[in-house]
Amino acid sequence: MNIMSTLTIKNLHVTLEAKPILNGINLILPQGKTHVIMGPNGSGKSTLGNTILRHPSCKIARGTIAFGKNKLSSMKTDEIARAGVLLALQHPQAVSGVSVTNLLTIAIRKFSVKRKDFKMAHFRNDIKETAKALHIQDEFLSRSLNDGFSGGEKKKMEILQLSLLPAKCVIIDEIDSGLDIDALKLVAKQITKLRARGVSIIIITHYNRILRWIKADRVHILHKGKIIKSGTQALAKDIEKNGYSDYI
Amino acid sequence: MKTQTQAPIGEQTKDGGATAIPDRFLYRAKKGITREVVEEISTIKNEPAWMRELRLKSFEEFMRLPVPTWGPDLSGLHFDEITYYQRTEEGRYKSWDDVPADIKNTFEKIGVPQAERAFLAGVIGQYESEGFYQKLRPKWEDKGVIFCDTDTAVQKYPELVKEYFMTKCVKTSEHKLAALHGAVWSGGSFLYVPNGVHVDMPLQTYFRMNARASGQFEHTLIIVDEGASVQYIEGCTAPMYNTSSLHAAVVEIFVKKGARCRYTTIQNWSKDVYNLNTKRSIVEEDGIQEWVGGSMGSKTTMLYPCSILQGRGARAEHLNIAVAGPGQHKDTGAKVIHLAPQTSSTVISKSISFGGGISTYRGQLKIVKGAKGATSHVQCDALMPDNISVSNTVPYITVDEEDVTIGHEAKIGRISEEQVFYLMSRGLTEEEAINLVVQGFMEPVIKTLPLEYAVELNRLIQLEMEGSLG
Repeated sequence: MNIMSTLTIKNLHVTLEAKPILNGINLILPQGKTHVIMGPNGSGKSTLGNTILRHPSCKIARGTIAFGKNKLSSMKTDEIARAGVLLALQHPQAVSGVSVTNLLTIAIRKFSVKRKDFKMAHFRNDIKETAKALHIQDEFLSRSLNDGFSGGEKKKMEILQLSLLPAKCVIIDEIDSGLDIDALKLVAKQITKLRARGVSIIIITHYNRILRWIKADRVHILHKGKIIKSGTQALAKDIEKNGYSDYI
Repeated sequence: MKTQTQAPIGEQTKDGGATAIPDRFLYRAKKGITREVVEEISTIKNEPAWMRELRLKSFEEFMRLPVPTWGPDLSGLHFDEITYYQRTEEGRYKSWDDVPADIKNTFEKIGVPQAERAFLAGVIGQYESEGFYQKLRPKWEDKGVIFCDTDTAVQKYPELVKEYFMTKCVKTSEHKLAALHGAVWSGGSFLYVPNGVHVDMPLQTYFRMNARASGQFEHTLIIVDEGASVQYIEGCTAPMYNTSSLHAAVVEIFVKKGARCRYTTIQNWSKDVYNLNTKRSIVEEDGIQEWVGGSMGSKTTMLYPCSILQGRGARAEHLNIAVAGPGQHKDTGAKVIHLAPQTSSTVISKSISFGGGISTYRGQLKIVKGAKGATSHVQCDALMPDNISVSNTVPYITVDEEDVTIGHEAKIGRISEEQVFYLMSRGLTEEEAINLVVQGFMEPVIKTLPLEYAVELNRLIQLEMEGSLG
């Protein structure tokens, strides 16, 4: 975490199934800052998150994405993840026969090759501790990941994974949907911990709700694939009160 | 009588972990099957008259019975081009140190001695047609457990073998391959567990078929007496050759009252082998038969382990995974016959087809009138990572009793782009992501295997699928 990496998105144009979704996004997220991307349905929020991780259906037509020295726009998803840029998916996939513990212990080896002090036993313990903090029951750590999980359980699993892998920048896509207020508080607490660790954060959301517990440095409003307004947390509050109509 | 035939040196191959090594034969029967060949086998083995008669009767049935046509295409199988018997080593070895170096190397490559040292109670290795190395930890010998190759059992335990060998479980007259087996069988394991003895470590054997166009007809006979329990593990691998080879094994298991048997087999035949087996268990009152199978390699496999639930409360669990790659046809499944009340069965069959491979689940469930309270659940899951492979499900269900509970589920899954993206977004490469999905799919089978078999099966499947995806 000692290297400062800024996420820089320049004039990003993205198509999804040949339809233009993002139409010239510019965004600079300095290391350790928390930005919120808000916007109505279909504004391109999730596409932005997926494009940063190079989802195969999001085609970059123009523009670049960089994270420090890493040019994400010409890297593969796994390389981006290993560079420390992680995504909490809006719709995490179920993986039959693979538990979150299996996945994490496989994934961490991809990150920890050079770390001499790494101990798998400690890592397993960290999984348990973090799960406890998120009020995830033990059985969910050994069950097939996301298989038959409720919406809330899936979201907690995403935050669990992001908390345990050595992230430098995380994109959190609609973590607040499907979470009740208590679960949301626990998730927000984990995100605050990431922030305290110096992790850069992009929160993609519909609602202001989660911002009650998380301090955002910047709020951006996305509409028709463009950032049409940026401001402080007050902007999010205003949207909650008055909706998007004043801005779009 | 005995002649030494030095066959050509086998090529080294890179075929899924199966490595060819030089052939070494003390005796090899001439190609094709005749009455003389059958008699010769019996003579060489110095068999008692009853076994010789069984062979000859089987040979007549073989000549009379037709090649089965209800399953995969067997037209590439030419019975006249197969060598039915060959013998590699004069005696058998009780200690690993006595085993010749080239054979030892092969076994070391496939991990037998390590396996044995680690936790296996006994080992019978089958190199070509006869078990050449056997050992049973004295602990079990003292309790009366018998574990030896079936040829030895014919000589040493004739009463047991005569009573159970192809008399009441698999009969020689059943079909052409059972009849062929009866005529030319050689090797295999004989396992007897006396009343109330629980063998708490798995007993294992590792089969290997090495010579070109050789047949392998091992006969495994397992008798688990009342209240006893055992786990038997069999692994098979064969190197790559061009001429089609035939493997036609028979496994007969008797699970007596309150007894339990788990039969686990991992097969990795070379891709030219016709793997046509008959495996059956007769389960008495409150007995439990578990079948765990991993079917890798081979050109064509037909394998439907069968449980005959004869006594009240008898139970069968079938767990199978079949992998069909390019040019391969896996026709596998399970047969369960409920003959008594309160019998229960579970079948979980998993298949992976890729690169144009064909896998078919062929299952039979039969519940007779009077088998009140019988329950059966069949689950077939197929995984197909591409669009050129084939997966079929062919269940035959006959239920003549009303008071039963049965369920049948069949699912076909693909490895989706979203799933791969999800796993890659956690830092796994595309290949690792796909492997993990495949491993997860197999997990219900893998978790029942001892660790090193689990590792081996995972590795074999990865090797098979390497380069075929993406």
